[in-house]
Amino acid sequence: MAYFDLDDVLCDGSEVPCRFLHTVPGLGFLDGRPGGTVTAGTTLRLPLWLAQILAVVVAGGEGEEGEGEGEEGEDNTPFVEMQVPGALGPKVLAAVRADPVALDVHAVQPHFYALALRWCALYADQDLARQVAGLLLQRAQEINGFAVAGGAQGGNTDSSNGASITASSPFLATLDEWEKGVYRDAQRARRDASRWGR
Amino acid sequence: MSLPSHLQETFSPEEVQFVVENQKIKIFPRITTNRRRNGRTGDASGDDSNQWKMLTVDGSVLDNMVAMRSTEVALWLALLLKQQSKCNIIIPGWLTVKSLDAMLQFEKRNKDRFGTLPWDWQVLSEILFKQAADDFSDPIHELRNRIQDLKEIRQMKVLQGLKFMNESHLQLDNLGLMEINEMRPFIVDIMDKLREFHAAVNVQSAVDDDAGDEDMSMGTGIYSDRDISASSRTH
Repeated sequence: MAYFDLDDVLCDGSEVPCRFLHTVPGLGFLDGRPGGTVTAGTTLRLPLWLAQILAVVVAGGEGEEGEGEGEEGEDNTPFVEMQVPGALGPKVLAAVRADPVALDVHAVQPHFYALALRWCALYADQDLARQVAGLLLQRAQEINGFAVAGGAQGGNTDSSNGASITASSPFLATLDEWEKGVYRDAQRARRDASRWGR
Repeated sequence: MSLPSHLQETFSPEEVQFVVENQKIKIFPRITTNRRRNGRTGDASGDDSNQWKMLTVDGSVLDNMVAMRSTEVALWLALLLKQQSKCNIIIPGWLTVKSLDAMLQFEKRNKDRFGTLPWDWQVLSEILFKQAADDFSDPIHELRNRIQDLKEIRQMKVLQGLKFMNESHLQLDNLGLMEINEMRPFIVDIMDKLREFHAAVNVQSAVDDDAGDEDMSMGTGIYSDRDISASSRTH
């Protein structure tokens, strides 16, 4: 979660479906209608960094003339309401329960764990955190297995073996960006150790 | 520091070897450097030219060696003397076919525990096999096979143990520094992520997130196994 962590920045850019609770004029460009008005109830996909702010900031509190005209009564509702992104939706969680190792995490969301972590932090979602941690632990066993195998192989050829193993195993293609980093680190340590022995 | 991260976060095997080479080991010197003793045996070679000067270590042990009387020096020094055939290294008691067999039996019997090998067993055996092969009373290839078996059987147990990783605690009793070092990056990464998930949903207890993070990470087993390696290095 470092400021300059590129993966963190990229995770910030992942889209979250948001339902607008207020009618906002002039924001139509988000919906593909430049100059138009976003009416209350519209669901749009916003990047996480934007959605996160808009879901917290209370519309009435800002005191600008634009927002109030939608719904006068609800002054302390935020601009938008975030909905569960597809990557953390029931479909994916069902797949997680079914077979953590078979799930193509990278296809679901390249920064799956980072996103899940944000979501857990925002909503203190114990259940989600438990499920994702379980997923992580099970996949970690598999990653470690591959790292051990790759490290033992990689004693003689070092630079090319990472690529060849990735190509040979479908599992390694499903790794999320963070998991890839873990795999790289683990494999390097194994490779160094096995090279030292000979 | 501008070192690549994998060198900052963990030791390279060469660094582990360097640490191990600073351990004390017993040797049988083949030469006598003790001046008084030299004098008594008749030869008057007591002038300073015979004395060894060491800039980086205390040379008193070296200057008081008596042939065939065991003494204790740092491993790297023992290896230097060995190369010049000035000493025989006394092979530690656990590095024999008999005790390694006993250790293998123990490892096979106890599925969830590791035998009490010294923390530097992997490195020390490797170095001695390579550089002091003629000091062993047992055949080297048999010892080598047993070391290899031990390595594999313990590795399997570690893999079993990793299934039960959690965010706060990991016990690694009796594992060697090399074994720990080999899997440190993996375990640190995984446990850190588990800890982040744990901390994210349990913020009520720690209001300021940073302070909570700090406290929790201090309690993780990774830090304690670093302490183990650090403390075993000192004695």
